[in-house]
Amino acid sequence: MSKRERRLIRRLQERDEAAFREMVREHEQQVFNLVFRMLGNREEAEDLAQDVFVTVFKSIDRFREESRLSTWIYRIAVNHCKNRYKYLARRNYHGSASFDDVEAREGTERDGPAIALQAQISAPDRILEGKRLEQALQRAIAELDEDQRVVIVLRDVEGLTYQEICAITDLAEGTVKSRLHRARMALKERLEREQ
Amino acid sequence: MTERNRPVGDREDRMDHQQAKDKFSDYYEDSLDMQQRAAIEAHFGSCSECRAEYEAFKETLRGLSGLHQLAQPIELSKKVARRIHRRSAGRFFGDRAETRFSFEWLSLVVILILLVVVFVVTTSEKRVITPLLPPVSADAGVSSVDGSSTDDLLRHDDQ
Repeated sequence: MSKRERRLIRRLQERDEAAFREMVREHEQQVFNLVFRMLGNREEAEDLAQDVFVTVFKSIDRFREESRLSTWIYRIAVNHCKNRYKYLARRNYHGSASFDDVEAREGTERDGPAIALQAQISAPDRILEGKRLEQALQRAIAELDEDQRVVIVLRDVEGLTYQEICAITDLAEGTVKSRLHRARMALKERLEREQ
Repeated sequence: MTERNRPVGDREDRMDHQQAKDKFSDYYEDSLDMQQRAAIEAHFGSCSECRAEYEAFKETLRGLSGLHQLAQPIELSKKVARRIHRRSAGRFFGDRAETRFSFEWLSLVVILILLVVVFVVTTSEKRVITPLLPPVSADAGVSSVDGSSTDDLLRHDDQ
């Protein structure tokens, strides 16, 4: 953990509002991405991302600095996703991706570290194919069971290390790896069925 | 016959379809040891079905890592602040907080103001004290040349 991060945590624990805003700006993209990929719905994801940061504000005193701040925030986000998923399941909500999300985002994407699928396809007439694939992937993720979804989003979408995933999920590395492998195979099969 | 020239099926470390599939993730992440890596590659060499399945597996993972970075919600930080303000019954993130300076900047401004005040006070004290002091006589503090005491002079000044 860097000195800067330690200082930020101290300020957060003193309920410094400027520090809190700084922390939200730093992590909002990752948190929103994670919860959107977990829930598959933009509105739900936005609402949940807000709840995640409210929890960070309330619980920062309990952060024991055994991991990086981002790992702890991810952990809160994952727990919130699981709770929301159960809540939505009780209400018979099917967390499939709203297909309009990809369309609605068009033109507003930021250049992030992940390469957009569209960008990997050179011919303009194949942009549609990229979108279709993204929608199919989001649908397939939404169909995975909750535990598989967590590990596949953390590892293959967010690109976290196994060490970080273990800290977030409280699972042993072997369990994470076997769960991840099953999730990947299940995702591949779902995509094949769609095609 | 050497180990290398022996047909794949004859090797002790050969894999069947299920064993190969179980290793897809490790092979993709390059975490297999040399022997296992050679075994799965040998299996791919002799099994087009598993090879095709691994290609599909790889494409799926490439698709996942290429998913869009989503555009984040507009003003999420403000929305969170409003939510905390509401839930804390106004204790945190009041309107003032929108324009609040950070602690560091505020400290710097306070220090600068203090320095200016100290400078002004010390320089103005010199200017005020010098003309007020009357010439000091041998019996300073007791009486001046015309016989009036220092206290009398100050009293005159007051008048």
